[in-house]
Amino acid sequence: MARYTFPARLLLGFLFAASGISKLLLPVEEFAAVVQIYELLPPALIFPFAKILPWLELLLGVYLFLGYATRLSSAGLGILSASFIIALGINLLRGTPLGECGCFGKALSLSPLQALGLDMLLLGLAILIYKNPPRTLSLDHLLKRNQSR
Amino acid sequence: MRLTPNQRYYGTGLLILVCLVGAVSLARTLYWKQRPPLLLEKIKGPPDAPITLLEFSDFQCPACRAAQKPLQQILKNYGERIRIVFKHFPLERIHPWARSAAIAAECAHRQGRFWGYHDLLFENQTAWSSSRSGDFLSNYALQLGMDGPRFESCLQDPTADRKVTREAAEARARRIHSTPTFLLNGQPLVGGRQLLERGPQLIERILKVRGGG
Repeated sequence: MARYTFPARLLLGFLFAASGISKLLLPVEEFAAVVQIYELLPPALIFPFAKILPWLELLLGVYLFLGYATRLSSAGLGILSASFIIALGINLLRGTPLGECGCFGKALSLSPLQALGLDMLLLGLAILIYKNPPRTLSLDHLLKRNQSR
Repeated sequence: MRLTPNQRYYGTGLLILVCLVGAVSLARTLYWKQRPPLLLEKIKGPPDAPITLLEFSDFQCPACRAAQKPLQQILKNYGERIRIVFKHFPLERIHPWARSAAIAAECAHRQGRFWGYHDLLFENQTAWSSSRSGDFLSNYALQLGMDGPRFESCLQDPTADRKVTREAAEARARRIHSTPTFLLNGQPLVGGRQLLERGPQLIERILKVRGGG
């Protein structure tokens, strides 16, 4: 299984880290405008959410990429993917003209349907990693190995 | 000092976090550093107004048209204390007439009719957006009493096109990617909704600091 979960860990970690950094390099107002279009949060929470989410994506993405707190990171990223699926799904049902998903800042433009497909794939990978955390080339493995010395 | 395995484990997590915060701060500093100066040309309002609202906009963008209402409301509410500066940011990839409209508006500016032309373009956006010919550009110019031949010759003038390119570059250098984006004394607001919800609050704060409220 590690043959599959190791590349899955790298891919999932990289995608979330890239998504986080692409948002963090833009003014927070850019992502806040995207969050506003989804109309799922009360106005008071839009800016705090727009500030926190990219950091969460970056931190959990890098943790997972490096194999640190692998199960916790994959669970966190799985929850994020599931919440994106719900947010996109609700707005697709509402018929909101989203244009593009806004998932990767301005670095990559995905249609809502493409984003939905990608998020489902990422959720699947997160579940796979959570169930079978790969220990290959991971900080978890390295730090635990040192512990046992 | 010897660290326990737990300290080593959580310390590693903390170290990664600190490195990320540092790297992002550095990247932002480097990424946001180079900003060519802004040309302030198409201005509405008193030149010495304490509030400057820069509008990076695209005449073919529906959200830019929708933002005109809150923009007018803000102008009405703050009168002599605010000036608006228009900057072209045509999103040509999705709006085929955006650049032509921006060039035409630049030509209207040369005849001192920018704001009238601006209003006409936004008011009739739905009609001309699906147009197959660019005749509407000249028709609006004539409607505003502009010099037709001068306007036509300006449409072919590469300097008008270069002006639009320069303003779009000013936007990109400020990491602006969406239209409309407003800079309220430098503070970005993306879209009409942020302008409406956060604009007045920001303006009040600036006026209070400057003692002009």
